[in-house]
Amino acid sequence: MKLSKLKIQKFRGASQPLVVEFDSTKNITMLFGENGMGKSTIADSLVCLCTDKLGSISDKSSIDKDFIRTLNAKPAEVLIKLVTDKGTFEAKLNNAGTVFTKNPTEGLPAVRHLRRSQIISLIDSEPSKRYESLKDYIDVANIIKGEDELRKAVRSTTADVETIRKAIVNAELTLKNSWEAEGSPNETFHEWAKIEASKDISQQQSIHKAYNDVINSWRELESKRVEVVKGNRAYSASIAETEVALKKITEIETQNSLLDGTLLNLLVEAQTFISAKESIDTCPICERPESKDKLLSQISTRVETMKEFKAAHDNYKIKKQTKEQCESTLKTFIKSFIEQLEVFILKLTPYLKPTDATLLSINEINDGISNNDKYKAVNKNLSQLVSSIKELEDQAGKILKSINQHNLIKQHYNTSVTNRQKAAKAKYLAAAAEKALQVVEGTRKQFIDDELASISKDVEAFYQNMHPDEQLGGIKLFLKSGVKNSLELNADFYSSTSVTPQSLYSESHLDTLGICIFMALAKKYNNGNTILILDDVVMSVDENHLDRFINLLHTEANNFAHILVTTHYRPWKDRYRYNRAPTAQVHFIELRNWKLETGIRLQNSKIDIQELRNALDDSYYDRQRISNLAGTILENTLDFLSVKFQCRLARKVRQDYVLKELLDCISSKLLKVLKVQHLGKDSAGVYQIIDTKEFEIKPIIETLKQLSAIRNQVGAHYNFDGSLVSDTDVSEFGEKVYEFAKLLICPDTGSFPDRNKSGSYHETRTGSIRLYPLVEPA
Amino acid sequence: MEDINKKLSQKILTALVDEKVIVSEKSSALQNKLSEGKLKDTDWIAAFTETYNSTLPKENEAK
Repeated sequence: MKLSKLKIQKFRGASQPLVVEFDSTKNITMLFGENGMGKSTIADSLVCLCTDKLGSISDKSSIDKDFIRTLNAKPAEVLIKLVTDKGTFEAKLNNAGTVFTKNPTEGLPAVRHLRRSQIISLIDSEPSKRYESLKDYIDVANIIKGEDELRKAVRSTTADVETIRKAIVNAELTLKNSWEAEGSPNETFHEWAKIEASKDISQQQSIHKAYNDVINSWRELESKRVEVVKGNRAYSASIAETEVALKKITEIETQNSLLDGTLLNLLVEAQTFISAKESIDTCPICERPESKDKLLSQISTRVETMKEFKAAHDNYKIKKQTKEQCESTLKTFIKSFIEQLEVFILKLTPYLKPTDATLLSINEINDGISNNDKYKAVNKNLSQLVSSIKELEDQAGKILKSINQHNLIKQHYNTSVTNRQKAAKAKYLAAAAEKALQVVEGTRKQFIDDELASISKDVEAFYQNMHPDEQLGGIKLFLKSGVKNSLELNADFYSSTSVTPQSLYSESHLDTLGICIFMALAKKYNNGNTILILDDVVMSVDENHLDRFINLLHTEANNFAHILVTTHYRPWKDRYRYNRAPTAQVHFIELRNWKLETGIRLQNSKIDIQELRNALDDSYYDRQRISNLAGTILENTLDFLSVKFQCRLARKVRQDYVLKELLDCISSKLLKVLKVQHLGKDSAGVYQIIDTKEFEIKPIIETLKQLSAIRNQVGAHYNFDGSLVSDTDVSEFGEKVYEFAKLLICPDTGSFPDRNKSGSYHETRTGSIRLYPLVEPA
Repeated sequence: MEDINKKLSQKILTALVDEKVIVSEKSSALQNKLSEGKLKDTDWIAAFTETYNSTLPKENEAK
């Protein structure tokens, strides 16, 4: 998969639409920029588009998803769009601003995002947490879910075995006790229980039911009888109270012969009649003229004089009503009693002898008499039935006990039998679950160990490339046995083997170890469309280690669809700028100052030699720039040669050698034999000794020595001499430097011949240029 | 990209069948559920029950 274009809009720092155009001829893109210029925004956009993660935002302890989008932007405005040779992929934020919707959802490039925080987490974490940092690569979460469910199955099947065992023990203990209580008939309690459980008790059950019917009917009758007794008592009391009330009226009348009940009633009615009238002029009885008020006053006076007499009358009236109510209630109670009596007699009759006195007295009751008489006739004989009912209750109790005993034995016998059948299966399931857990756990751990072991070779190779001859390595990653997901990391240190590197390795060695592990993982799980993002992973390394890391990156670049490097580490960028690394394989993008109004600003960086060529060819002739650029390139090229041939230079604390020192440090012996060969490509595109061209370095160095003053006179300082230098001389200086640099720079990768594989010359990575000799002649 | 859960679930089910904990007829369905993280405790128990049942003499054989 080749990346063409990445468009980002209203995503994090991309406040203005940003388009990153990838160079399709290069599969490494370097985003260089100081902090806060938008490197992580670009890296995170690919992460958000191609994975379910949020990239560097996830490193923050508290994630506010509002800031996935640019400040004040609406979710609908957020867009990430990646154009590749395999299709175009888009991600838009949902309305809540929390989840990206992808289109299409399939075929997205795989993104491996390596951040410094991951390296620290891998190296510094406890073994139990270290495994988490590899989860993006070796994610067996689904299997672990199934494993946890299997643990639940182990627990539940083991619990089932115990439950069944307890049920059998309890049931058989009860049966044994019952068996012993019965005098241990038959040979074993189990045999006895089997016989007991198979007995038919339906007859006992029907007898018990019939007895119970009689007993319940008796109890109902008893409660009806109690009602009648209570009703009778209330009725008798109401009769007595009525008589007392009547006697009181008679006493008052005796004391005052004028008092008359009929008169009192008449006066009360007259009072009611007159009160109801609106007005009245004459007495309604004698028709004498009289006012309403006066008539009422006279009647009230007379009624008042009969106050006690009236109260006695009112009381009598209430008592009489109460007596009538009590009588009615009593009749109802007696009727209900008689009805229940008939039900009871029906149920009882089968259990009484024909000569039984109770039965005879009951039979004497005929329908011709009143309920009251029936009650009286029966009630006096009811007490005789108590003992008969008690006898029935005892018999019913015995039958019930027998039924219960049978049921208990049957229930426990069945429990014993069925649970013994279940026990075999339950034990099998528990053992199977236990065995399965061992298999699953063991297979999972072995699998992960195998996966980790499979990257060990790459990790070791990468690490040895980074740290040759340092007596480090032997990296081993493995899960600690007997501990859930505890990832151990061991390495060698000189003669000590399998030590924890954290205790002996320097911080930068641990950093590179982390990078090597993640790169090996990314390589292993790459399927041809993986984008590897190295997000500010290199903080500060020395020149040698940086060169080795760059070499490693370029060697492994072909294993990935694309590598995106973000860095703020200028020495890294400058290794390319000055052709100390394979410049031709890298597309540089430099980020400029970020502002909310302008968003992220990009500029395509150029290496110095390109800029010199452009300056020489430009229609606007800038002599100072040409001189300046040519001087810098010449210094860089001579620095390369002086290091390669260990040329003699006066020691300086800071190795800031000037151009003259570098030009003069190449000895005449070396200069005599210093030459380059440019090889030709065969039909397969491999450099061979075909059409080889050879160039001596001495003539060009001699010319450059004569022209080198132009760098300071024209390119660096203000002085009169500079004005005397002609444009022709400036152009010659620029062209000679360009020619010199081109002699030593690989046309394919843009790097110097810095390899020594042959043992007789230096050569470029591709084999395009050979530099002779290997060492300065003695 | 090769699904690592699928690869591992395949190894696990092969091992379980080899150990006779699971009958091979059920392994494919179990493997799919395991690799998708959908295998429940009840599924495990059902699978062991199936194996248990397969060890019992069949009705017509018993006769």
